[in-house]
Amino acid sequence: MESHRPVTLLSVDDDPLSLELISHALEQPGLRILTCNSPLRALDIARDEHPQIVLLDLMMPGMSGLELLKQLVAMDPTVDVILLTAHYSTEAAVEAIQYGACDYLNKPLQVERLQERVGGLIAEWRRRNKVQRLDAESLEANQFQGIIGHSALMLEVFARLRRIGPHFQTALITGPTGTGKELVAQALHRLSPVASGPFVICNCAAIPENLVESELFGHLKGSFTGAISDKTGLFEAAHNGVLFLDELGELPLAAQAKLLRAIQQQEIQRIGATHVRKVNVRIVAATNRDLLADVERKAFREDLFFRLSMVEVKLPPLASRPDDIPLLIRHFIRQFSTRYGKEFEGLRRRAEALLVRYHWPGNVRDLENAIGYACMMAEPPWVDVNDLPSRIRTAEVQAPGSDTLLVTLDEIQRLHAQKVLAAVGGNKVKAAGVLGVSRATLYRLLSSGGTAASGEDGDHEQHDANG
Amino acid sequence: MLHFKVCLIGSFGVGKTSLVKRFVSSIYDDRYLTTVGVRVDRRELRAAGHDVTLVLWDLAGEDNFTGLSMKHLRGMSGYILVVDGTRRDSYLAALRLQGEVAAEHPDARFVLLANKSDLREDWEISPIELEGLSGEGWNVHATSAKTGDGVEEAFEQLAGTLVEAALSAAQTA
Repeated sequence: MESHRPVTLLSVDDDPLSLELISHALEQPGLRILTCNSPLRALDIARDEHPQIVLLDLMMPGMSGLELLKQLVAMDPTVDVILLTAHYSTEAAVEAIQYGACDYLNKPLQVERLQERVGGLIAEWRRRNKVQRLDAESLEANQFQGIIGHSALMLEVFARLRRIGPHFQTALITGPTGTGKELVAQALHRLSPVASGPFVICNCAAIPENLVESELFGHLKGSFTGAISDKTGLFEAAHNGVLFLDELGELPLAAQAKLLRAIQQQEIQRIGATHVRKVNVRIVAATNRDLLADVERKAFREDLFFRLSMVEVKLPPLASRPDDIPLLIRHFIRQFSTRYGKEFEGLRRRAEALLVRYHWPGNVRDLENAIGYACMMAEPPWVDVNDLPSRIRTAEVQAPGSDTLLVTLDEIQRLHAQKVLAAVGGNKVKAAGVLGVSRATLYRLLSSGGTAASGEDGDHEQHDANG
Repeated sequence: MLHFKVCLIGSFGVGKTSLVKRFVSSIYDDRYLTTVGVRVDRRELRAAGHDVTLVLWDLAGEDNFTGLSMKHLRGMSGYILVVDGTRRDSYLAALRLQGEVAAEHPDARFVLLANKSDLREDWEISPIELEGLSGEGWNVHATSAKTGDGVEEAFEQLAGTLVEAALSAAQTA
């Protein structure tokens, strides 16, 4: 049996008889009715009791109903205010609606109509509450270690993480940029026997080449110019825990050899030290590059690649799992509602349809940014198409498939190569195989001229001038 | 020939696109397709003794205007607020929209169409309320895109108002 949180209704009127009539007419289980005959006192009550519904008389001494309405709505934009007007005045009614009232009723009150309107608001409030609760439950049920998804592709990833987590010594996470590789690394840490140990992040692309060794393994004071004190390396910092090597493909070749030794021997040597130190570190590496292609180009050590890729987790691009997009949208809407202090209920259906159809070149991070932007622009409670970044709105116009009609053959080849590459999870060897070309040709195709397919982020109107 | 940009404004599903179809091609199609962005249509007619082209901008349904959708209204001479008589929320949304639009475009003329008059027994707006609006100087018409009732008259009345406003502005200038 479902239990309802009581709904609070505040009735503000300087006429005690009117307050009594309203209380009597609306009395029902699950509705807490507060009454007040002073507008100033009403503000205090609203601040303390957070009523969901307010019935407000238009004409009151001290402060007009319209003025009180403005202040109530400013205090809580989600409050539903019904204005009661003593004499029929369309002007006042229109003004009230324009100031944020949800409806107006004329006095003398028709009890049935009052009950109907308030009943509708209570039902709406309960529905919203229920949706929010179900939404939270659904998000809870469809996430694994903070990673959200219920598509077959992601369930496969979750199952793999469950199997790998307790046993891995090294793991490689691959996938296009923005697919959540760091979240997966954190999940592996939490599932590992060293979950209580440190989780240390190393962004290999962000370390200058001449400092890589010092960052990873540490150094002794005076071992090189600028080594003014002893430094503990990231390997030591991650002792009895997990070291996450993000963007591993950017690591210089010289450092790769030392990394391999550290992984295999579980020992490191600080720069300038004469002895080695034993460590117990599990390694999770991540890259959006095709490491095998790098191996063949001699840009990545083969032995390190094979050592790491024994346990590999491939993350699919977001466009290949559209089933997850509505779930992710709800998650990000909640996240940004809290961050911006705005109470969003969600996306309008047509806006959601647009997002589900979009090709998401930047994957989940791209979606997160789009929702963040939309939540910043939108007025609660709904995010609509016009709140979305214009490159996404514009993509809707380009979507029907005519986009490749008036372009050069080179451009078509490049777009097709990109699509195939995305479909095989960024693996260039596989993509070249599918396309029936050499990898060198694939690189040439991908880098051939032409502008990006997505529109620039300017103002674009969508006109369907069919008249 | 006088040209006027006229925007159709109102909540989702109130019948804006159907009204335009009925007015432009005398067609009613009961398939419901939500409008994304804007659809632009036009019709020539004679109003207040002048040949007039109404360029009709059928905007996607909205309960309130964001800055981005406001830009679609730029340069309009008039607008049509559309309400679904069977949905009180669409009426209240139209009152809100009117305030927002009038603040930005105080010179634009408008009419309010209470649509779906063929379902009048299900209406959630009372005739007194619509009369009240008329009393405040609003041009209010009950219409049915399905049967065509009141549609032609409503558009023609707006066109006539626009012609008069344009001629009056030209005389003042």
